[in-house]
Amino acid sequence: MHVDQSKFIELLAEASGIDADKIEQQLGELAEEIRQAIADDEAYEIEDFGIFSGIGNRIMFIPSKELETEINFKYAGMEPLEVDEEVVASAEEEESDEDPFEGLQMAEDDSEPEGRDPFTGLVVEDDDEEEEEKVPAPKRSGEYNDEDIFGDLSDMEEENAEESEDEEEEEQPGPDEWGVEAHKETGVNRLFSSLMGEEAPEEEEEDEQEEETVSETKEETTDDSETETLEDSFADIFGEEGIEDSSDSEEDLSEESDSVSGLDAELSGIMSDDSEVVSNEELEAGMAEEATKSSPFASLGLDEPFDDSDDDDDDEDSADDEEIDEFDDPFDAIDDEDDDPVEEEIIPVITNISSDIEPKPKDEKPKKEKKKKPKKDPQPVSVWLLIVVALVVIVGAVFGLAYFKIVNIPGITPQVATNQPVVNPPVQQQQTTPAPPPADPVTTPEEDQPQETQTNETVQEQAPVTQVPVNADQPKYGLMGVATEVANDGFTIVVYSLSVEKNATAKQKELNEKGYRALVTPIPSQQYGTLWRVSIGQFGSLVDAAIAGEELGSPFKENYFIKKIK
Amino acid sequence: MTKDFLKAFGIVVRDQVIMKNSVEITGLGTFKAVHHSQKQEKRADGTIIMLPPRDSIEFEAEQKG
Repeated sequence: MHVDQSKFIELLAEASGIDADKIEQQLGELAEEIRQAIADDEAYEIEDFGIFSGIGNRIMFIPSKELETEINFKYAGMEPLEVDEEVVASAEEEESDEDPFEGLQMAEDDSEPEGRDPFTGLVVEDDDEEEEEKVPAPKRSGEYNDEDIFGDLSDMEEENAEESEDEEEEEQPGPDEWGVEAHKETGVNRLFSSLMGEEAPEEEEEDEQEEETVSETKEETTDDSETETLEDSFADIFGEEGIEDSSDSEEDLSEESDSVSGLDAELSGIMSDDSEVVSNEELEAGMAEEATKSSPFASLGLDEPFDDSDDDDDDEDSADDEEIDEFDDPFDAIDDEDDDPVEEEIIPVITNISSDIEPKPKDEKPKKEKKKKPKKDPQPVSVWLLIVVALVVIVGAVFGLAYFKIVNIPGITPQVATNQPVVNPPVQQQQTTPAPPPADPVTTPEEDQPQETQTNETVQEQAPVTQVPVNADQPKYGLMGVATEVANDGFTIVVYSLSVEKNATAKQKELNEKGYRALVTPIPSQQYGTLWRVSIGQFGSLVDAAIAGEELGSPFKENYFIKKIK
Repeated sequence: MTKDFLKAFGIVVRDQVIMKNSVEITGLGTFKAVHHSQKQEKRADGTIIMLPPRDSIEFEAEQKG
């Protein structure tokens, strides 16, 4: 139907209550303003209606969202319906099977005898196409190429695997360092490295000096053989420094007798590099003196120069020889076995003794250890922390994307609002309403899992209602007849969407009188309230419904849509 | 040109378009409804969906001269 200017003015006058003359005048003003705005390259907007804009001399109209939704109110809640691929494929096959066979039959009759001849085959276009299709086939299938490719890939994978194995082998010591034993090993390494390195010798020298200063009397009163073995062992490890330290320790002992503060001062002096240099020089000088002193005894074949010197220096130690001998016996057994155990056993003894006497060096050692540990350990810890944090961030991001439906992950993406409620309400309805026989006037939908993804508005769709008795002879599906409960698992053609139930039932009766299977389905909508959709027909498949829709008459053919009943 | 007139203008045009009627305004153009039937569409993931039908409003400007 076409509404011209005069009719439109009448309608405007009814709607607004304004005189027709004024409306005609204002309508002319409106048209003039719009044209003027377009001429000025500007847009003209009518609130809740749309925008008039121009491209060149053409006037374009962009409807507002409100107008678009109001125009489409009868399709409220309609969401894209997922179609089974099998149904579509079967329909396409049915369509494709008919036409191609006819063409092929005609072509085969002509081309088959010629196609067998190699020379005539080149003339026929169809055969050329087939040959062209056959030629690239081996390229596509390309076993050799694929093998080459996969061979390259396999080589790459093997190389990567080897690299990864190498990396794993290289990285294997890493995790071991996390264990307690690893720390022990590092400690041992530190001991060995301290023997060979720069920092640790200071500590060991301190320890040895402490040991010697504390157990001075013991060492000096031991036998010559013991002193020789100890000196030899220290000489093997430290060279001449062991003996030099012993001479230094003797001097330190003489000072220890004066005061404990003097020891602290000396130890602090020993820690410094200058004092070491001085001590080394003194030790070298002492060694030279000892060599000159020992030379006459060596010529005599006696090994007692140190004992004499010790006796001369310490007269008080001679009184304690018996007690010291008792303590020295286990050390003798240990010293006789190997030199290495001596080193390992001496070190803890030194620390224990020194801890009793001098707390300051003991305090300094943990500080050094604490400083050393963070240098090596924090790197892997920080890497692991970064990895864990990165994993947490990635998992959180994926979870967030899935939760907000940006990425569809079945376990995380919330699908309860769309699918599950669709199944439940009909089941409750079936429980409340008794199952009618096929001839009952009222039908309820079967419980069937709908495949369409619908919003909350369509979730609460209720059962379609029919009021006409059913003939027992009518088929399950069809356009004409009476709607049955059994056929509610299929599709239907919606022809009306009305906001008043009475009007919907009136349309249903009208359609029933015409012989259609008419259904009325209430659809709650937040925007428009409850809509009542009047549909006709019950079809087992979407294709059947579409075919029936195309065969409908003029009032419905132009404006209908197919929907799954439940 | 009053506000009530503009409001009534929008309502009347909308109602007529919903009723599938075309509205002609002299000096401006014609509003008419266009129905887009439901159609199949293949998504990127291979699934086939049936898009619901919809109506839209179209405007044809009046030809000058």
